[in-house]
Amino acid sequence: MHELLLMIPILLLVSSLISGFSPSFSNNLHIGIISSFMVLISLIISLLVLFNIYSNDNLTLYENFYNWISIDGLNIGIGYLVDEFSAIMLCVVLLVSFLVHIYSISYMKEESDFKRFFSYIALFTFSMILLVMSNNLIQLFIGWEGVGLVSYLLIGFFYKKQSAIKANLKAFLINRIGDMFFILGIAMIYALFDSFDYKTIFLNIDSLNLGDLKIYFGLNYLDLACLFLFIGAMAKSAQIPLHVWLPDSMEGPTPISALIHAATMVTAGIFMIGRLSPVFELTEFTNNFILIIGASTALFMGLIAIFENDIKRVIAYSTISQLGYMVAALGINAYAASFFHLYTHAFFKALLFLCAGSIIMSLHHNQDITRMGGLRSKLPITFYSFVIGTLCIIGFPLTSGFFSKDLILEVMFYKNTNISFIAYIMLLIGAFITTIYSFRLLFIVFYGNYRGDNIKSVKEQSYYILIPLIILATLSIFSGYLIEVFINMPIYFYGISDINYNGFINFISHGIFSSASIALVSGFYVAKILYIDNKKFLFLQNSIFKNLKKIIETKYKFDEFFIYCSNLTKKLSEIFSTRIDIRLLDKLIVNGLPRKINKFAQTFKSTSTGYLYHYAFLIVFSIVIIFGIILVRIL
Amino acid sequence: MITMTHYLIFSALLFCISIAGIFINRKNILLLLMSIELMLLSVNTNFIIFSHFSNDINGQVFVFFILAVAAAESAIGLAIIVSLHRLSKSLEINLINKLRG
Repeated sequence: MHELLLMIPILLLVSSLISGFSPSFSNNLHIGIISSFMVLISLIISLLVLFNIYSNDNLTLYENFYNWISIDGLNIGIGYLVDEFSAIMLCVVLLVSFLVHIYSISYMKEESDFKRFFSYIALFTFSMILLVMSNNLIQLFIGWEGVGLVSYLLIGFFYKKQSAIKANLKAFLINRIGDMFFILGIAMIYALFDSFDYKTIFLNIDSLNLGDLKIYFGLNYLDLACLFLFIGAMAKSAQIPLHVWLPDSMEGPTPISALIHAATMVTAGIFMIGRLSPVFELTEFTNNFILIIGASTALFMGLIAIFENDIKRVIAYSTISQLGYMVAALGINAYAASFFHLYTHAFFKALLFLCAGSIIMSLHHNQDITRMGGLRSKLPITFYSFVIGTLCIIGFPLTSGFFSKDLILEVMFYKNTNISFIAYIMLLIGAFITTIYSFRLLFIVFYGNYRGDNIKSVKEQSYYILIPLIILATLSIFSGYLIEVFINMPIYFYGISDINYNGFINFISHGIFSSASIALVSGFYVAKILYIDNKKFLFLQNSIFKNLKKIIETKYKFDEFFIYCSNLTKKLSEIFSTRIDIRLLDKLIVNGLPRKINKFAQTFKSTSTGYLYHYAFLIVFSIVIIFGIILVRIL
Repeated sequence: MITMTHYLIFSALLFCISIAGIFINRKNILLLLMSIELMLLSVNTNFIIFSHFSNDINGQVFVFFILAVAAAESAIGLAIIVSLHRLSKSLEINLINKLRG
């Protein structure tokens, strides 16, 4: 098992190096196939590992096989911790990555930088695997930074486009904010447990006395550490207010949006909190904070998606909103429910993005949905896949989204505190909003009349594009049936006894008659009236709703807020530069002090004339005075 | 009767004349050297006076040493003056102020 596990990251790294350093005469298609094959082998290995874990009654594979840094008690190792949780994550990452590899062979075939692209995505998968498999926080952080770096490189893949360069810089800077807090959080955890290793941390957590911890700003030490870790996760998983980079990251190629900015990388924050769940469940304040952030992200970011016109941005906002669901579930300690949603979301969101990519390709890189329409008959396979993806994201009964979203809502409902009730309402409205924007996208793109130009050239793409869509569509429908795996998962799961999970059939029948279904049905009707029948609700025409719409369309001015903040810092640094640096340091101290000494020296310079008789006079005169003093003293 | 005081006054006068020579003379560096020699001689005179009045020959022995040193010193001084004259073609003190800050 040990060698097999090590094979996974090594294969991916080798794949990245092969495509990165391949000579220019090598065939693009061959490179793509070799890369995909490497990922396929890794996927098979990870499935073997998962199977092995299950057949051996939830065995945990742990080893620290290399001591990387070892200084006086500080030990940073390289190793792996693969249990049920990370094994499933491994499979999800590798599966989506494999499908995206195949998809990219066709999607990127026109690009001259084909090999660079494949090198990046293999490197991304490698970093993600490093993050998921790691057995300590430092290795997690390395993977964390690795995926951030590749995300930066891939958003700016079309580096000649000004907007792409701006978008990747934005993503990088926002992630730096998160990373700063994240590394602070890691340091605080280290200070508390004296180890970066998960095993040591989890073993020592029982002996921790929460009453003994120091209190800063009204929060105890552990609250603060978890808060900092969560801020790191906020940047990576695009939660309000650090979400602004994700919609802009859609400048990258579409397969990347599917792999990195929807299915895997953005869920790294959720994975990290799930991994550290024994620590997080001890904090009350941070959990409430997580809950509020998650619920408001789920609701408010969904609202933006209703008014977006770029197909990829709509899906990007829906990703943020779905991540909000996962984070909200983390906030009530329902880690398994959150992870379940992560797992189903990975499939249907990758599916939606790949469908969008297929549409964009067919329409010759048109992303504006106002210039689409009536594509149902032209792109049948894409259409059915898109329908399946839409049904999953709105939680249509018996699809995967239904199980995971319903589980989150149920757990939220039974938590029964004030704050979780508010969050429940927000998530329920969020589900309603999700239905509206998902169906809006479906109706505008596939129904009605075609509004673009050159309808004749629109046709389905090659099998490299369609096969991943079909596989992902199948997975999106059926992945939800593994719900029992997640419910029995050994990571902490709040409220499992309360939701009365007794059997699969009961859960489905209970889910269908829950309030989420009302949200779904009403959302569907609203979307149908608005976007198929093109009617307008009269009560939405008054000025209050118009103003609300205006606020939503400006995306709550988060971008402006960040620009304002950076201008503020700029002004502050200008003041420091002129006042402190130029005036105080340069003029007063660095240049001022020598000038003063110089003036002092100038006045004394004139006393030494160079004439011998002056010196002689001075000598004699002073001798006379000295002798005079001595004489006076003696006498 | 000429007492020791008279001798000492004579020697002090000699010393003062030589100092005045240094101060007042602003023309020639050679005169400066001569004033310094005069200063040394006045000190030597003191030695001899004290040696004579206290019946101790050591003072007079010391004078010989000082005279030898003074001769060497004035030889060096004259050598410097010669090379100075080669350099600046004059011996005027006002022109020799290279030590000015």
